[in-house]
Amino acid sequence: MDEKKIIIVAIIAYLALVFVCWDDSIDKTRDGRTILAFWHTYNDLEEKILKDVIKEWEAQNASFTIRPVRIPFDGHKPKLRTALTVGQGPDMARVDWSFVCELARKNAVVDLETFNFSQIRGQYLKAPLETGLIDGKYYGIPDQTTCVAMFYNKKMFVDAGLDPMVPPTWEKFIEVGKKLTDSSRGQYAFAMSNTLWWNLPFFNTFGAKIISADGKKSELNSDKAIAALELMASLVNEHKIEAGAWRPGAISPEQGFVNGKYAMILMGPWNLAKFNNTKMDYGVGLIPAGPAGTSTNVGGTDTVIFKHSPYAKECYDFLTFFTNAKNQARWCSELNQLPINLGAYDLVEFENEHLKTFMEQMKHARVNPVVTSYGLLEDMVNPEMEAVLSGQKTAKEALTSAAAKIEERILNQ
Amino acid sequence: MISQHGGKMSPVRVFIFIVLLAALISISYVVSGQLFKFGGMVITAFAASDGMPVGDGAAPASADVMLKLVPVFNGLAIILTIALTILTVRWYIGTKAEERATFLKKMFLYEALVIGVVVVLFPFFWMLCTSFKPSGQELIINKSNPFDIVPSEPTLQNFKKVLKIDAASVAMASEDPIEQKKNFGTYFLNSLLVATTAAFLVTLFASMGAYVFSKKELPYKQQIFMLLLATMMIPGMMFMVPQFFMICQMGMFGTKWAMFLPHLASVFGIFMLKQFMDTIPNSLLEAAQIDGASEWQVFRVVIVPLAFPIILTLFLLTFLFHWSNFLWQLIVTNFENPLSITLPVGLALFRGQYTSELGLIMSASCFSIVPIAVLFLFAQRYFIEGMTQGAVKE
Amino acid sequence: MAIKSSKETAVSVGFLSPFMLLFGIFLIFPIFYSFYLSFFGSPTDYSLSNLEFVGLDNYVRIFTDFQFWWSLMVTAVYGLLTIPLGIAASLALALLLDNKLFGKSFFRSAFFLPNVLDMLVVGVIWTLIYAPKFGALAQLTTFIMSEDNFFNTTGLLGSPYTALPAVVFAMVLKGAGFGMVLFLAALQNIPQAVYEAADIDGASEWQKFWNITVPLLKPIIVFMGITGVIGALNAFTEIYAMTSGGPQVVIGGETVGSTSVAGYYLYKQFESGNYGYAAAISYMLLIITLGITWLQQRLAARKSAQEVGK
Repeated sequence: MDEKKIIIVAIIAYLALVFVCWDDSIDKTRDGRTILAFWHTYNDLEEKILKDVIKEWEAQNASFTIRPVRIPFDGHKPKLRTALTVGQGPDMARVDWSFVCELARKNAVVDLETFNFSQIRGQYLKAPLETGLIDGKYYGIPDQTTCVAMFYNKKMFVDAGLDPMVPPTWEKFIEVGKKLTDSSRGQYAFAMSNTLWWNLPFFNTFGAKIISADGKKSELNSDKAIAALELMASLVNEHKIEAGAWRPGAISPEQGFVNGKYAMILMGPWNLAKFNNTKMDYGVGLIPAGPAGTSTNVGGTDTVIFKHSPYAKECYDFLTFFTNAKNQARWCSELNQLPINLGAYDLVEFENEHLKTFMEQMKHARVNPVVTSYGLLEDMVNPEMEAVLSGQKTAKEALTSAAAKIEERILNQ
Repeated sequence: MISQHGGKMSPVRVFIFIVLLAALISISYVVSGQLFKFGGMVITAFAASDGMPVGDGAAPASADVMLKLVPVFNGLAIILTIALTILTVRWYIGTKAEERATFLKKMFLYEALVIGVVVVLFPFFWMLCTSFKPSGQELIINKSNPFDIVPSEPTLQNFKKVLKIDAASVAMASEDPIEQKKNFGTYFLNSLLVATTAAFLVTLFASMGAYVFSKKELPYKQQIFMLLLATMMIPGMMFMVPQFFMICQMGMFGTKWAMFLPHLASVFGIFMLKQFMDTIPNSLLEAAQIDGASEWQVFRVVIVPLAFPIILTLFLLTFLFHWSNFLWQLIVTNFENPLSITLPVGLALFRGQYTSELGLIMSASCFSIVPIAVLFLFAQRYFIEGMTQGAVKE
Repeated sequence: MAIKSSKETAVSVGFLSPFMLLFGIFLIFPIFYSFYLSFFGSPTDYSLSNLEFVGLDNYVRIFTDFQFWWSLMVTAVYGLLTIPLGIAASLALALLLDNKLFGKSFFRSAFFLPNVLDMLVVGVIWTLIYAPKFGALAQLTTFIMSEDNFFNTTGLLGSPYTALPAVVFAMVLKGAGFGMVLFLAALQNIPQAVYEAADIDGASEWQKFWNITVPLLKPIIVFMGITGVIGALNAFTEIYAMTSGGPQVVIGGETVGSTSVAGYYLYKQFESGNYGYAAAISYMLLIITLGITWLQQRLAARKSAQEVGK
């Protein structure tokens, strides 16, 4: 009767588990302070510094305590949406830049001008700050920012008899690219992704806007945007210096880069540490200039304060404290990140050459398109972009139809 | 007695044998070489990580060992392949001439099955290998031998990070009691509890319901069943918001009940069990009823044992569903209370914003597969053969 | 007789009630609620209280939504490929492993094992296998052929003609083990005596398979067929992980994804907050599926009536 024994043991183990683990009440330490919940998506190292900053702030604000609650970045949007539906949201939260618009238009977050944000907003870097600007009002305080720049493989440049540096303009880029490409050995000068955010640098170096300033129209069918997309398509079809990484099912440009097959890719600072582990010799340069000079996109996160919180003022006080020059300087020097506070640039000296390039690149960043559903915008533009790259449509046709769809489905909803 | 084709050497048959033998040799060499290397790699990874400072230090040490071990792996693979070849050839020669056609058929069948298994299990193997690769090297391909996917610089970093026992996380563990509860163990036990309870209840209710639909009378039975099937056509995400609303109204937000209660009514389970019970001959039930068994006894003594393999399959599948039900568990989790965080949600907490680190994701997947593999091995005996096989096969 | 049937009904209700209770509490309300939502526009705030009633607008919009009808067609192709292939692969495996075979239980476990892997992980891994230039398949084909072969330049997922079959192949391989277990278990319930009787009548292996095994396995085949339809309608994770709906094709000036199945399109609508439209789409899908089922049953009934008439 061995089986019976096993089953009995399993049942006992299960019951023991129920008794030990079912109860999920937890003791909360309360010392009479009012709790402000801050949902964030930081990692371990970032959370450690956050807690230090909280301690400093609490020392000045005796009647409040901030409770940092980590939620997964993958899924912070559905989590917040559903929590807000039943009114269980936190007092403040850190969200992806593309989410601020939805929160603001759905009337969930506080207009920062209530607390005279205009007096201090000059201290923030313009491009990340503008991700929180929705319909003329500021709803988000930037807390972290990223952008992409051009990574290049020094060895591949030297092997092709070239100076290891990113070409200054797109014309030079094509010229150099032809020397770097050797498709018989699977080597390509460049590899690009097929999503709008990753390809914004192309549009931005041509000075093309996706959405007009008043948010009513799409300017994707402008001559500038068409020229930008034509340049992208020419890299693939005419000059054949792009590896085809934009195709569905292809591996991301970074894999080809770390394997020494792609000489240049667009990439953000978050991969610097990872690339260092691969022991390859790489450099980072500014994105080649188009008619509007060099430029890039903006990524990162903003912090927002929810309307239902009775302590919005204190939340605002904490968030501005958290992003002041001193705290940003500490944050960025310890974590190797780009400061969003201009004052922090004076306080810290970065040793990392690559990070300096990113700071320089960041100064040329242009504001991202602001729409209620950024995901939907990508869904409208990405397929059209792919149709052009695969030679099934001309840039003009594709962008005209994308602009019409954006206006119909997103802007005039 | 000499058959029509047998007896003399048949060149066609010898040719087929040689082709099959060549296939055998190449499969054996590639597969066993990788498996031996994998075994050595795991041991090296563990050996090299002991006492090593956490950081870049561990990788080169293990790389050295691995480099020295390469001839060993290859040697073992070659020895195994040669042994297998000699055995097969001797077997073939030893086979009576008239049975050689059957021998070749069998050999082909086995090779096909092995190739099938290799293809089917390749994702597993790849996942295991990737979870041992150091950060940044997950995507690097061995240039000399593209079939070689076992890492040459194995590290346990990924596992340590997932388990939060790497130096950085240990340093992070503060005196805060809430913070200390935020570990893999808590998440693991929570998920185990949620998934087992859910799987048990689902199989119980679904098998009772399926019994009615398959073997009992009930007014409008067909119509009710069709209605249930129709609800399966509506994608589950449509129900997410209203179900969340109900859970909050019931005051169950952040409790273990909330993690699985709305998904207990599994139409899929009822459907699967009903279809299987339809293949059980009615004569068996009637025999039990004539013997004077009560309704519950018929269900327990006849139906459950006969349907046991399928009930077990349903248990496994339900367990699996709740074990990886990320989106629902995410929205009902109360993140202020680590005791309500389950494994898929907890694992997502490790993942940062821009770090799509394959090694980390794969090692996390390994951990979530472990209990299922254990469950599977445990249940394996009953998996396909029912408990009372003899009852049907007279 | 009446007493017996009412007692039988009581027993049936007793056995069914735990399930129906849970179903009633947790599914009836959401079903009606999502149906109710399908008559409203996109919510303007999170509380879902200020919804604008739009009547049948969402349903009307579906009729002019080219993307939806295209995705429906892709879904149909996807279903027509996965369902028969899935059933055939599982049945073949089950019949193969129902024999006396050395290492039978090992093969059974091995073929079932992929079912326990998360769909997302399976998708990622197959993408890496198919990937041009770096994938296992590309490595293999360059090894055999030249650098300049289809698998190495475009990749299976990069061409609109091969992307959907490639997804189907991965999914059939993943799911075959599950069907195999069902078939194997059902094969156990076929009495050996039936085959012996057929042997006496001199039936061939193929006749025995077609006239005995298949009819007795019909409930399982029906199950796999219906869950296959549901699986095709709800297919989302595999597309999300492997192709994101692409590669794009241009049809009559409209750019559409060659693997954009209805479930994926629905998810995209849901994700961008168009709850009303997403609900309308799912009810439209339900109506279409039920319509096809009804039509097919009518045809089957007419056909059998004709046969009786002969």
